[in-house]
Amino acid sequence: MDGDFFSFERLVAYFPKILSKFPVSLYVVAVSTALALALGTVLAIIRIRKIPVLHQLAVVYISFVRGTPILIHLFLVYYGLPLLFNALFGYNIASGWNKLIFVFLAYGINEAGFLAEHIRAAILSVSRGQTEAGHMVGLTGFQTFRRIVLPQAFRVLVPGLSAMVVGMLPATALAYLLGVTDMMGMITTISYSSQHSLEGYADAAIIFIAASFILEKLSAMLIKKLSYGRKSVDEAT
Amino acid sequence: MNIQPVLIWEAFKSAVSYIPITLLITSAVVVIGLFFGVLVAAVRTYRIPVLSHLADGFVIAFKAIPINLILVVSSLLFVTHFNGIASFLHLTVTIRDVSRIYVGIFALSFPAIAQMSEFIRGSLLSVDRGQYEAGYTVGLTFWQTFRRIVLPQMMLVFVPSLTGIVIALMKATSLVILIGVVDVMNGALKYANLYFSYFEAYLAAALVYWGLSLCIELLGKALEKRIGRYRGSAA
Repeated sequence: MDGDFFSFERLVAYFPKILSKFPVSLYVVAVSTALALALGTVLAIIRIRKIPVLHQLAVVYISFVRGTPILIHLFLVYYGLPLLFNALFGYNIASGWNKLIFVFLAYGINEAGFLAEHIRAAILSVSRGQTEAGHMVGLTGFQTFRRIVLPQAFRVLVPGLSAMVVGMLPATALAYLLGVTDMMGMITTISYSSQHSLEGYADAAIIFIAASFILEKLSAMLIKKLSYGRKSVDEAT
Repeated sequence: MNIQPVLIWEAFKSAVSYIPITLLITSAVVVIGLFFGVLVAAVRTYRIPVLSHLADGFVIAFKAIPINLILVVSSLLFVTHFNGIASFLHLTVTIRDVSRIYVGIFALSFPAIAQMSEFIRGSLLSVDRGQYEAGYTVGLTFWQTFRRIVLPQMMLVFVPSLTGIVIALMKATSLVILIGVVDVMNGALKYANLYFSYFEAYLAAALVYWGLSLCIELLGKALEKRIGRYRGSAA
């Protein structure tokens, strides 16, 4: 039994199969980060403007998301969204929708709670004079925000955002719990037919390590590029 | 199908009764993480040969590997190898004597050490080199300089981030459900299988975790205040 427990042949044989599911993880990271950027910006603006009621709701939302595990967010979305749709529109989405949609939403909701604070800090880091200058040349409030404040805030946001994206990658390994076939799901499928899963887990670990190494290097390059010859935020601190 | 408040309450009561298990795992993981995190951070910050490369690799690996993967693999190795190792060491314990909780603590320790060491390293690096030099100039040894000059300054940076790490680790303990430990999460789900009240159960679990996080945050604030008491306005 012991000699058969772990074999390098299986490690090599499973590798392509598991690697083929790696794009699922990247896909989850990309879509949920896009969702989180949108939702996080809205939350940040609500908090900066201190819009009554919405401001308090945003504070509660951020506190809840940061204080509860992503595992719970996944299942709350998975079981809660069909309930909500049933109550509002009276039809059942639980069977019809792609499982990935629930995963995107859950990770997006989770990430937005963390990103909102980063985005708020980034927007506040752009000096007030920039907005005034925008108004001076006749831009509306939204135009000023989109064309002048947001691009400058984005540069401040990038180091925090890229650290979050790198951290998101291993967190997506929970998607298989909702029945999405990602790398972890693939390992489960393989282990049903072959009774061996350790090699699959080792493959997945190698892929995760390599991927986050590459992502980290890419984000370091991006940060350097975005600093336009100025001292980057990382070096300055 | 509607949400039934009674079932939320039932799940909530069940989840609350398992708070000690979640806190036990969390505190064990935090203590182990702090202890080895300091070692790893020191090895990496002061670039001790060979060991520092091993430490670099350890941190890169365990920041990248999903925690649930570490848990599942630990549990797998535990089930298949524990009896063999125990008999090799001439121990009389068998797999039935060891609670799954320890497997959970073991597995969660790796990412905890990796994360903790990163924050400790960051706070160590936040103390200016000149502070060490000033210490040596007045004739202090390395240890004296470290304990009396560097440590108090790095704590000011480290303690605020510690709150965040403890909350993150506490949330990560919810994954021990994958290896069958009954903690807050599993406790809340106890009756869900009977009534199909999964949403209610997860909601109840969320409330318990939220409460725990808020408590940890309050404790962290109190600790920050205490540590920054000589600092005046900055802390």
